[in-house]
Amino acid sequence: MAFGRGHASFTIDTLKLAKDSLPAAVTEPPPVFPELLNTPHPLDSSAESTSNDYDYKLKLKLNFNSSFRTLHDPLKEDNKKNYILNKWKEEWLLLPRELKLAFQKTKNLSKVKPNLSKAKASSAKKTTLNIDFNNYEEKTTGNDEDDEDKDDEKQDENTEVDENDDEGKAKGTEKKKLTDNENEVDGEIPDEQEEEDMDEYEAADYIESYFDPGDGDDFDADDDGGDGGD
Amino acid sequence: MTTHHIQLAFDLLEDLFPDGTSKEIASYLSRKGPLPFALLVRDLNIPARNIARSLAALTIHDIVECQVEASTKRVLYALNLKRTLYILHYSKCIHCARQLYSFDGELIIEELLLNGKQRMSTLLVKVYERLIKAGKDPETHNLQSIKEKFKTLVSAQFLQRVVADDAKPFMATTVEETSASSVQIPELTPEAWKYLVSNQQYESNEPAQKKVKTSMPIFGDEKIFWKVNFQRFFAYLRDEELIQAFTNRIDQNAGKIVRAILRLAAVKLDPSRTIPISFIEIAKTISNTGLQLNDESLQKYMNVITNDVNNCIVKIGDHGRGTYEVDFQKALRGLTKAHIQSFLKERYGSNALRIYNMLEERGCLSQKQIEDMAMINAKEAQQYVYSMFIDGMLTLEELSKANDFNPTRTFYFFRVNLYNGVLSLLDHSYKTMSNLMQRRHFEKERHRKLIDKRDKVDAIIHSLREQNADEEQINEVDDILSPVEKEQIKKLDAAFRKIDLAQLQLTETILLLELYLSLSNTVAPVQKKTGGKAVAEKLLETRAQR
Repeated sequence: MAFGRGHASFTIDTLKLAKDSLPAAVTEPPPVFPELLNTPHPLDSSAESTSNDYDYKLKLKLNFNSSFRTLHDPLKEDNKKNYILNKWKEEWLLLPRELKLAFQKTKNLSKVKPNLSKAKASSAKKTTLNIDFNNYEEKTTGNDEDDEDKDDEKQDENTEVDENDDEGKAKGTEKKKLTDNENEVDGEIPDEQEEEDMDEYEAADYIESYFDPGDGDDFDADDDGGDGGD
Repeated sequence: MTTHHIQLAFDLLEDLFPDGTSKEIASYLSRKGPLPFALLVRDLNIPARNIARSLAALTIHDIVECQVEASTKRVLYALNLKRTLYILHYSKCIHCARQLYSFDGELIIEELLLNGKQRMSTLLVKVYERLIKAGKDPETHNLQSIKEKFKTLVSAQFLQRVVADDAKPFMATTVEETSASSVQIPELTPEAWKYLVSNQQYESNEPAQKKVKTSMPIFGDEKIFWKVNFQRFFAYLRDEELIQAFTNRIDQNAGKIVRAILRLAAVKLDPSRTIPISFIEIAKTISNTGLQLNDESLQKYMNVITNDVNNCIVKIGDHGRGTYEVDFQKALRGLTKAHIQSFLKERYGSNALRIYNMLEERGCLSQKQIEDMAMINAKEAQQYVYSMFIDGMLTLEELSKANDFNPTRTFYFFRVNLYNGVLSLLDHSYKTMSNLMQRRHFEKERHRKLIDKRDKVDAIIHSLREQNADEEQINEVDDILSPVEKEQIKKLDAAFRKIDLAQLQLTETILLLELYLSLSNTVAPVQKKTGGKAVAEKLLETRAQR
């Protein structure tokens, strides 16, 4: 008898087992479903049970499901049907504030387009100061820089804590530009509100900026190169 | 919280919320327990905005609950598994509302279920718009009538009020409306009412003209939200089941009598029993509903009803010509027992059912006694008993004669345990429901191209019909789908219909079993994995092989 190295140390003959106690040889793969022992009863179709009215219930259920899905579909956010979270104002009353902040904080970012040609921007930037606030947002969105975005995040939520309506969002972005370009305002506004709400979004902030290379961590740090930072 | 239970909850969430974030959040929360927002952002690889959006949607629907951690004052989010499973019963609730309160009520409940919580003003406007779109006459279904329906729904406690407390600035507390406190419908300020009414007039009379842009007035119910009261709906459904059972068992008049009793007993001091109701009150209500029954026949009916096997409606006294009470615990027990019995009959055969019923009458019996009493041969009896034992319908009790549990000197008694049986049947049902949903999803994905094509063709035909195009054009478009494809579509539709019907019927069973579990106050016995059950399984295996 050979044992070890890929050989069994015993063979079937030497085991002295009864012939039928060994598991049966496998001839085909096991069945996909377990065997059906009894025929199931047929389902109640609407013809048989008018009291239960399954057809109508089915229609209700399918309608409800599809309207629910369109309401919560993230891809169709501008669709008129899907208005939740786009136009929620009062419902935020019922939810913890951190959710609202987290939702709005990055919302403006998605509208901001990154600028690919940095060199052009820095020279063009200076000429866009001191213009009407109405056109401000449009002109400067094209000139935003990537690394400025993270800085904008922080100031965005600070300025938005008090603004609860949609107009406030536009103002918020304007204020954001102000603080970037005119560094005097930097220190004051963020600090005041920062202390009130430290707990709630401090953690979220910290987590978000955890992996950042340290760019835009400090509210007080002026950007290098003053106007909008490079 | 079995695996199947949790899996079903995730399947439901995946079905309703098309992006996967809600399901991810739910599964993570169920694994780790309540978590603060920051940890969710850190651990899941999903941008914070999406997480915030999903969490907000789930919280509004009460699927995720917010708690404030006392020590650190952070907000923790916890998954509410029971509430997630209520999603199964949405269509049943809407159907109830339809039967009780007609189309207006149905739309109110549907809008509330879609949005979780809503203010009354927004709700009224939405329902009104839907009614107009559905082509109803704006005269009969105006805002006032919708508001009346809303009031009746609130007074019947189908809707609950949610108030954003100023003390806890971001938590919503559900106001418990007891019978003592009067239900307050928020009165809209008169200017708001005028705004709504004028809007309505504009809509119906002059849709073409430009609307004067008025600023949105303050509606007067800024902080009061409403949500659907599921417990009330379940209570109503339970009553309906009871009435149906009596109608099937005795006759329709008995059903009406029971309905009258239940309506009188709407106020409950104790969730499992009703207040005592006297015969005189029943007689008065019956005559009010128009059923012509004189006192004598009513008395006979009451006798038959109280003598029913389940003892759910019992006579507790004689004052007022007989005082009766409904015991819901016993009623639900009877109903679930019927479900279990039909399950056993279909699964194992009527002999097994006979053994089950016999055991229930006799209490506990050993294997040998079962064989003798049921007059079934030993091999079959053993098979039935052990199968039922594995399924959880029976429990095993060991009683030893000596100090050591020597198998030759201990009695093994089998007992019927309804609670256990219901638990295992419910688990089966959850798994079945999960399977049905996954199968449906699978079939849809597999035939996605075909379904998309069919949808497009249908849309084209629909638009053509609206423009009153010729029949030839419609036939042309129809021919885009080849006959083979049409056959396939037909088969697919039949398959989907089968799956959906099965799901609907299954939800009814699940509802009843869950109701029973919530009312019964037995603790689930500890199930031993070793010992009796393992032996029984092995025995069945060897039997199956031979």
